[in-house]
Amino acid sequence: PSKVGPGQRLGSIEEYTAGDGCYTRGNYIYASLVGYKQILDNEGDDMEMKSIIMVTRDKDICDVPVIGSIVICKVTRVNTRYATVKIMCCNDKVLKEEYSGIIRVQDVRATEIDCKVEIYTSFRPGDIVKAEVLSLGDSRSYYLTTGRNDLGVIYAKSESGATMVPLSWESMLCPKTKTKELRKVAKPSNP
Amino acid sequence: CWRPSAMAVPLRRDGRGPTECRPTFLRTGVVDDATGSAYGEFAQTRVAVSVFGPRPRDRDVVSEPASDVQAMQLSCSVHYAGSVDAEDEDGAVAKQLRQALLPSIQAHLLPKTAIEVQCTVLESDGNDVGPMIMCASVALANARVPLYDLVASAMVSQRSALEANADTDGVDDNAEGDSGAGAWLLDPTAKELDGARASVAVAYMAARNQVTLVDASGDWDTPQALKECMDTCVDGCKKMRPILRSALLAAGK
Repeated sequence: PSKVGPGQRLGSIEEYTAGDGCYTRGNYIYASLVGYKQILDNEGDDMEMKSIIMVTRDKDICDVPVIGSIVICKVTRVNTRYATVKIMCCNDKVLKEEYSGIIRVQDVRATEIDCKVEIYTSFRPGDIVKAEVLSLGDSRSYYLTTGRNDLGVIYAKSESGATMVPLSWESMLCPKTKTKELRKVAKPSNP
Repeated sequence: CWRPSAMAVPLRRDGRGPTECRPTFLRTGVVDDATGSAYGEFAQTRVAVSVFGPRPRDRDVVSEPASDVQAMQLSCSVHYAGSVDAEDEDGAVAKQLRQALLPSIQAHLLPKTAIEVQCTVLESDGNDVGPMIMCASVALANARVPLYDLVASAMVSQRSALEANADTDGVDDNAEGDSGAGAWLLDPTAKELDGARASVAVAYMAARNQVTLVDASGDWDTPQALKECMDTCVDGCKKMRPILRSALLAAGK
């Protein structure tokens, strides 16, 4: 595979579709990054689909949270209207610098968003939460949501300091004191 | 035709023809702490650029009032090393650097982030904004920032009569036709710039056929002269582009 740099012409849009690391201008596809040119052949019967040209990086790209990214974050503060979090990982890549985000009370659950949800029974400071980026938010933080079964608290310590075990979508158990604590828990994925 | 033929114009002090660029050396990945970096030597002009980011935007920084909170923010700073007798007091040079680089970045892929470009001029001989722009563009690509193209830059200056007559290096001055005064020179050195009547610098992206910066100063006879010099600059940029690209691709893992 040949190494290409930004601005290098890779192919025409008649024969290929632009994939990751490329952009289209006029009738041609150009590279956006330094990397190796790869062509994914179109398998399947769809005659309309062309082969995809991609530029793959030899190192990790700088990843930036965008709408729809799944992020892992740590809760720093809670109040009645939202929980403030620090985004640490984006799409399974550890970020070099932390971004800040908030989970508003109406974005904690998919249902029952108008009443009854309290931040304090969903998150506590120190919890590690898996969330999805809803929007780029305001100048201070991204807006996140945990309104899916697989989103929510993935790790939390109880008031006595032990790591808690998930019991249901809304509670976790402390193994030391055997007390239940309320959280919005993410459904553990099958390994 | 205003452009003197190769026969009539004496060679420049360093032996180049009027439309030859200076020899260039570029290397990427020279600063470990930076996300991307590049070091460039354009004959006697030496520049090192570090790129940091994309990082989260500073929330408290009040940039242009109309700035979009969700846009990518590019900030440039220029620092002259002790040996160079210059200072970027108003940030004017940094502004030029920013203006030349901003169109090359695919900002729509980097919302709400900030990229910082720090440029250090280690030695300066003539036009240093051009080398800064080129090194910064290569450093941005080295930092894996998605770009439309690398930005190349070139400058053309007009030799004044004084400078031409002072040329006593055994080269055949004033032999026939044009004396060499008024000759247009691509990629001038500091000496050539000192004696110049007018100059124009251009930054250009070939993939989009887009000029990102024009800096013209001095005494221009006609608009046609300015336009033809800008075309010469664009040609110079096209010559520089393969050099920039090969430096970028030559970098080891």
